[in-house]
Amino acid sequence: MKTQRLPSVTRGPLERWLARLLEYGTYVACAVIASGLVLANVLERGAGPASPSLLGTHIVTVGIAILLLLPAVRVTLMLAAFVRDREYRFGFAAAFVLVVIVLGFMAGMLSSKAGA
Amino acid sequence: MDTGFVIWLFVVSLGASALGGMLGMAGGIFIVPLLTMFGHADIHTAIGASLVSVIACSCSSAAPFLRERLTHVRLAIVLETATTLGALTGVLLAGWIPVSWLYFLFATILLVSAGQMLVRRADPVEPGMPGGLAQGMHRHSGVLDSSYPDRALGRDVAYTVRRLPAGMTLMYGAGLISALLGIGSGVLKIPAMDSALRLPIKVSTATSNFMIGVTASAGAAAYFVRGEIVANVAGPVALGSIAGALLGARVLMAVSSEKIRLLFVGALVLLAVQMLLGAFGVDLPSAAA
Repeated sequence: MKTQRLPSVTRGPLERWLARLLEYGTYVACAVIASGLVLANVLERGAGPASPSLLGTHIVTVGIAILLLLPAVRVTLMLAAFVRDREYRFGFAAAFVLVVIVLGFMAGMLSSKAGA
Repeated sequence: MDTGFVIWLFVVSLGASALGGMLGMAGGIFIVPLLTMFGHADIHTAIGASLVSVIACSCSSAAPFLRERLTHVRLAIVLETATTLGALTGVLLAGWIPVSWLYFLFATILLVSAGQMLVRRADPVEPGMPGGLAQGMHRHSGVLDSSYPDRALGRDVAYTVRRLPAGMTLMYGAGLISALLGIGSGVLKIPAMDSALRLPIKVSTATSNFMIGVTASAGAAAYFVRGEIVANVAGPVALGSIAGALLGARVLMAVSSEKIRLLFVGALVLLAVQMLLGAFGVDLPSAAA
């Protein structure tokens, strides 16, 4: 008997797109974080300890922000793909996940205001 | 900032993440105890850095799993509704529950999981069944059923997704723990996928790895806004985690399910001891300070 593949796995393009997004997104975030760390530890070494205004530290923060945004971008891509393919149940799930991520962000803003 | 400490953070994260990657989980679970016990970092800084590490591990090792068709992306997005909701609850609860209680609770959960993994040795999917035949036999099942290519067997293995509500409930708990302790909760998600959803272990490993990034980002967003993600700690941890995850994922592809499982049980027990030490406030001698 010949081995058959089920429909859900032969629908391959989404998986390939996600793989590409996460791979390149990670590379970009890595490059930004690494350049910031090199700047902070090699070029700005003489500038004194723990000065948060230094450019290198800011660049590292930008790199981390890219990394933190990557999952949300991934969910957005899935949402677009599911809506396009009329897989509305999965599209709804993706939209729900995005809303919860935004709510998490807002919960952080509220608690940081409450703490300050 | 101390360059030596940056390098130490990088090396520790690389090791933690490589081991985690081999077990199909993020190294985040190792990073909080290591940073607080050996690096003497503030617990919130450690949790923040660890969440970044979890996202880094998830994103950097996802691509090979996706290309190998091991990741079930539709099941992942359905389960992520529960994990992110759990993470949101965790963010809201974070200020109320003492961390020592959580460590203790988590040690218990780890030991229970280790017990479960030891009792049931076989893959939920019978490997003796060709993909085409299994597909015919499981005709009654839902839209989430799928198959994956097994390299060791050299053919596709079909599987069905069972007990979704039970799986979703466990995933909610995993998301909650993830945001509270700054871990991927892969250790909770993988047993959930084995015992409730009954997925083949390679599929559950790949899918869990895919999901932890989104789960952690729902928690990490709040830590980032609160300024608890410190660039000089989280930066080197992120880089080390990515390097380690790439290393670990390569090994996972080549090792059998049974070996992964045994490694997993060992890691669960070790982590339980580690968490208990944390619960009782045992301070280990410093390696970095």
